[in-house]
Amino acid sequence: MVYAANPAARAQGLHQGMAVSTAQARSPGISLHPATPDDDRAALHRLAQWCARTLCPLVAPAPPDGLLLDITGTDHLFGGEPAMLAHIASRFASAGIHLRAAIAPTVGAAHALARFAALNFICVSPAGLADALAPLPVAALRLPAASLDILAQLGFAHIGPLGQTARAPLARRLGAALLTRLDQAYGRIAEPINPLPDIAAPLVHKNFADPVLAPAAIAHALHALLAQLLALLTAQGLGATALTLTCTRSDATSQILPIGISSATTSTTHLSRLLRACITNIAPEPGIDRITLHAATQVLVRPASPSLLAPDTHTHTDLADLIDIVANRVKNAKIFRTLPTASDIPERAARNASPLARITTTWPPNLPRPTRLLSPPHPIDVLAALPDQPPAQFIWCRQRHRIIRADGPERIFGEWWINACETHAVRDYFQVEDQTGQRFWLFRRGDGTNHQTGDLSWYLHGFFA
Amino acid sequence: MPHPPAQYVELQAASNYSFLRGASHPEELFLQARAQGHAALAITDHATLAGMVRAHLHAAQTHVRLIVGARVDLTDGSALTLYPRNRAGYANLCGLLTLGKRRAGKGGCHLAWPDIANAHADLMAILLPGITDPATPDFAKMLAHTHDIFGAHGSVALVRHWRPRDAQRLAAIANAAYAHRLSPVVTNDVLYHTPQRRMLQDTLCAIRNRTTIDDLGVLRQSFAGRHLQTPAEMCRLFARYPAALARTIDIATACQFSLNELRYQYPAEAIIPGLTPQQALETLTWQGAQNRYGVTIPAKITAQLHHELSLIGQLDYAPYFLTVHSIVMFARSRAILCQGRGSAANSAVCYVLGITAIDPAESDLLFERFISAERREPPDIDVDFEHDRREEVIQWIFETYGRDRAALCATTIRYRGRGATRDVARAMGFAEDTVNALTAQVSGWSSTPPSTDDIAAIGLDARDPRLALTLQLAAELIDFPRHLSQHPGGFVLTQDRLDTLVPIEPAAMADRQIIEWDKDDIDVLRFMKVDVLALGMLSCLAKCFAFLGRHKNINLNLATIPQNCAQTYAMIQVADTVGVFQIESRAQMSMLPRLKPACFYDLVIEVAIVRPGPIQGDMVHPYLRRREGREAVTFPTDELRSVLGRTLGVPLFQEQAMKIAIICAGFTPGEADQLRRSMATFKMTGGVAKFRDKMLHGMVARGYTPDFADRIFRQIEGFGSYGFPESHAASFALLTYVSCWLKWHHPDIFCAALLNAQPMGFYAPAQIVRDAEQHGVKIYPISINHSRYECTLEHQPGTKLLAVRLGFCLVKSLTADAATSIATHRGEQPFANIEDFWRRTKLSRTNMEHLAAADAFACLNLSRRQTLWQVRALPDQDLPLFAAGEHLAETAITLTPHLPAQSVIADYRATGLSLHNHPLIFLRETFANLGLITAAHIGHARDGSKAHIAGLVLVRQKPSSAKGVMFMTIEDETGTANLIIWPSLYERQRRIILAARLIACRGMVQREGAVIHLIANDMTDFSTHLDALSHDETMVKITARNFH
Repeated sequence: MVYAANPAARAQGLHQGMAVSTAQARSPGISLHPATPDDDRAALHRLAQWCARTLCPLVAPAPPDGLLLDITGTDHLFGGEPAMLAHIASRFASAGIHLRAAIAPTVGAAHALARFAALNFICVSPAGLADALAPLPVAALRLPAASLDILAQLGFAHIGPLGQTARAPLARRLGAALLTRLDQAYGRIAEPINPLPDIAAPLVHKNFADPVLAPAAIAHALHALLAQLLALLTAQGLGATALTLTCTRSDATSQILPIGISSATTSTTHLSRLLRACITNIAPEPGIDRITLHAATQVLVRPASPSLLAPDTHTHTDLADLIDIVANRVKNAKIFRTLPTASDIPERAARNASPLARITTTWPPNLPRPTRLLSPPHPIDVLAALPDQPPAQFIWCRQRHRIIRADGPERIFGEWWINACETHAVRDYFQVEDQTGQRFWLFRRGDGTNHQTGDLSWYLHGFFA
Repeated sequence: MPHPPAQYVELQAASNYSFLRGASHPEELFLQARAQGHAALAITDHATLAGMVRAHLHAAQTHVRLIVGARVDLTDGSALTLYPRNRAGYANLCGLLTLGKRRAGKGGCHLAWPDIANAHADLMAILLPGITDPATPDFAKMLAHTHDIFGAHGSVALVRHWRPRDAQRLAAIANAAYAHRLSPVVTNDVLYHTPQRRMLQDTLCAIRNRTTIDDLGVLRQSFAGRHLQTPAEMCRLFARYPAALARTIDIATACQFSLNELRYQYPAEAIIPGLTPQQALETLTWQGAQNRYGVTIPAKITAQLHHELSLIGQLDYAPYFLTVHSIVMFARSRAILCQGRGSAANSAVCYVLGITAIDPAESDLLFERFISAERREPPDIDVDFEHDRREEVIQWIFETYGRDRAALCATTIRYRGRGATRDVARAMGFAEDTVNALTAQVSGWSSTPPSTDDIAAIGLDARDPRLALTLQLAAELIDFPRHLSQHPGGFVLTQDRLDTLVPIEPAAMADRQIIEWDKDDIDVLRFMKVDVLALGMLSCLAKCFAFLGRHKNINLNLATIPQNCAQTYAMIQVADTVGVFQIESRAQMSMLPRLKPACFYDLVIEVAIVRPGPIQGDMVHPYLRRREGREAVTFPTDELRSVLGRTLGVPLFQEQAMKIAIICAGFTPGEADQLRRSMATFKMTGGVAKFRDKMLHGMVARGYTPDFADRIFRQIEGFGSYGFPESHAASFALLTYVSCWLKWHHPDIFCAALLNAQPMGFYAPAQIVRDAEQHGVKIYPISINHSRYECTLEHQPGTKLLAVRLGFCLVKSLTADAATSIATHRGEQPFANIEDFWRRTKLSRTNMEHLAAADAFACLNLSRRQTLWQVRALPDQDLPLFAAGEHLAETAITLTPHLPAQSVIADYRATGLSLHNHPLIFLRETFANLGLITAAHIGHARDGSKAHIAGLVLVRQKPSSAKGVMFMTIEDETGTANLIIWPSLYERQRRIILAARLIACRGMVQREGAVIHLIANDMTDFSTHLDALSHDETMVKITARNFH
């Protein structure tokens, strides 16, 4: 389904809600991108945060594409409502965001005017409210589609006549919600804005009357800041996913230290350990005026009440703490774990994953593999009978290995969908034991019958214990 | 080629009828088996015998013996292959599969060990260990079950997996088998005929598991070597197990069952006690002949009946005719209209029994087109029934013959271009948008994936390896069977239990069951099939006859309609045929003024001529040229004149092709029928070339020039796959004539019946109503105080014609229950007001709103808006305390009245038509200012003149035979106009052409006789004009019908 269409697409008659196949039939070659509603919501959220920082404190996102700002008491900072509107317009324009905006005495009117007014920008005073609303279509009233359909059938096209119709008969036919919406638009009932709680990023800071230099003093200050920060986070049910420590020095320079955290946490011990480790990296000269501690956050999913049945949670947390310590202490540390991947090709049967990744698949138990693979496999000279007999002996590093026991072949096919060269490729693997009891994993390229499958060269790919 | 003595027989091979598992057609497996020197091959598809008839055919052609088998997977995880040793074993296998499928519902098969124990007699079994660890107690249990049930007829499969510890595993299985007194047997668990199919098999696996090839992982069939191996290679690989190799020969030798042993038995019809079926049929035939012709039966008919009856007797087909006769008699007893179509109308017996309607006395029948001794194939009688009453007939058949003796045929759904491309592209991990873009390039029935050019056209790079692979694999996948579906009406009826002949599975529709074989398979095995088909026009005619009797006291039926009505033909000649059978389409209508049908046989030709076949065969034009006197009608010989005289020397029908072969090239009737069949699409028969030589030589030997012979052959070849039998065209032409006669003499009744039989045919109710109005029929609107569910007829004082009252069935979204109940609740007492209506009918408020939108309360002098205003005031539920007149206390509200244009748009929105005006009337002034003319003007325009016209899009048509040309019918307030859109314009303006509801077209008028087309040069989407009309910007749904 078409989730959104840009002006060029709309000009071709494509619109939101249309089936993708219909859209393609109408306009072959249109450029399609998968919808990312989560990203959109996040971007709107960031925009809301920006507004909260720079325009006015009370901001609420109005998904999917709107923002609601309570500018009461802030417009004078910009020189009045029209000036503020102009300021907002220019800021959005310079950011490349197409904007329609309205300033009105009520939330309902602002909503309606921003979306349905003839002008892209409009500023309405309380006195002009009724006149501004009257010519707008009833669709501007935030009503459900079913109500709009009935209104259209009854011949109510605009807000004005609807507003003048007797209220009781209207309510009876279209529900009280219609009256509520009308009253909200005209300001007969109040409609508060509910700004999101986490619009303001949690941030704590401490100013020093005298610049500090001593690590002990810094540590002390950090300890206090962390306590404040965690109190803030806990109150909002948030966990820290990263900390940023900013030290502003008396020469007006500042040092920014990012501290990575592998999973959202509010653990005082863990975070103070990370902060303490950080202190050695602080270069305080000529003295720190101010320390700011800022947390990136996410909603903390609390484990259900701790129980003996979930010991896993515990080890997981401990491991996360350890990983954080190692990662913050070792420069450019690459920490990963190896996870199984369902692939017949031994080299591809394992992949590196984030250290806390969970195991979802296991290696098949019936496929014995060496713990370590030689990478790349070593070419060897082999004496073996075609098409599929195990080797009798092989020479590796100028040493001859006579084979006493062997199992195989295990026939493995190339993964043709990854690489065209592998379309016909075959490897025949043998597990062999030599006269000294050493066990090797050998393979031959090719199935021994069809030359397309490989050149019959032999390799050593690993050792068994 | 003599085969070396076989030391190994492959006993486990899945074809692609193991849907989305096997990666080779049965024919590929057998061709490969022959090439590798196999003497026999077992097909063991997963819980199905669906591919067995194909395998049987190809086994015969390749001289590799087919061993019938099937694989069943049991609920405890064990798997077996089962092989019938004889006919009884085969019946048991069919019964077992039927049981499992019935239990599992569509698509599955649930079986457990006790079921196997019940059905084991005369079956051989191989236990398939698969990946079961032979050391586990589970495996021991499976072995014990196998031994307990099958004893010496049980074996255990040894299959190389090409995995670590293979040798140990095989030894363990063999030892365990011996320990349970079972024999190990070598199989190779074949999934494809050559190693090259491995990629396709991986892809099928991904499709089956609804994942991508990248994420398939362990779900991939991981064992190597799943292709058919030579016997020698198998002997080498299993040199350590000579006994297990020899066991393959033992099993193959023991399992000699062949599908040839299936003796199909017609259901015995005991219609006349004490008579054999043949005697009964003869009695009924002569009785029927007297009913048709009176006491003196024409000599020609008597001779024909004797001929047919003796052939029927010789081939033992009497029970079949009796069965069809019973079905038709049942329909008659319930007053369900029916009529045979297809080649059966070549039979005088079918005519006198009342199955078909073409009088052999008046036409030139070719019985051999229907039944031939050479073909030894059961006849195929297709009978059409009223489409809304066919289910009664189907359920009667199930009840009368029993659900264990009657079932519908399957239709094998195969991968076509689009489906193959879509499934493979998904499996290859392409994003849904790309998949859609790719499939959009392939028409549904194309047998190829998108071409490199198509790919470039949507901005993808065909050199991308993944994309190249996708196209390659999709091409391989095309024509693979995908699943079984239900044949539209093909019944198989047997004397014995059907589930001893073929497994039966439940169909997707309730109360239906289908066999695993399709129509072609049934033909091969010579099963009898009756096609019980649905035809909308028969419903329409039945309704016409009922109306005629009720309102005009005229009793007519299909047989008693007055023939040769000159006025009717005059109407046909001017293509005034909206709504009638067959000759109502744009293509047909454009042909009528040129063909000028003046007698019944002209209609037969008309029905046959506008079809893909004759167009491909380059025959329409020769016929038309000759018909219009622009080309001389010549016959090289008199014998050819006797065959082609009626069609002016141009072969139009299958019967003519056959007769030419018989008379001019010395074919026997049976051979001529084979010639016809070899030209049809059915691939299995093959060998057109053989007949071509025979035909050309035969004709040249009889004095025709090679050139002429070649031309005749090409013409016949052209319609081989599409051409009608003349008998079929005649059957259809009969319905065409009847519907035309009714339309001319009773346009009122015809209109009402046609509206009540919707949806059917080419035109929507709006056009049907408009056409009737143009013929002087008064149409009354939907009204709560006058309408019933269906459209009805009302007497009008002073005129002969009845008025049509539109029914509630036309009100969109109104539930059927509500629509039918209104008239009942009304009785004799009209509704006084909305509240009265609501209290008496107890309709939900939503339903009342739909009625209000359809303006059905206008009879109460209430406008749409006033009605809706009052209806909305009703409570959602029936509240006992709701006092009458409460709303009278309300403040009066003035609602803005609808503008006339809005009213029309609202009519269309609620009922799909308007009796007030055509929407374009309101736009005419605007259009006139833009220089647009009307459809009526086009009718008078000169050939080659320029025109600019706009209209509502009624029909878009892109027939496959027209090489990408689109035909569009548009309508304005004066009539319709037909546009021709060439492919280049279509590509350029596809968006507009497909999307516009109101379209404007600039073009050039093309006149050919009375046929007028506008060749489009440029199209403009005017839909916004329509939206502007309604002012409230709600969309008007004027849905065009798209035909392909």
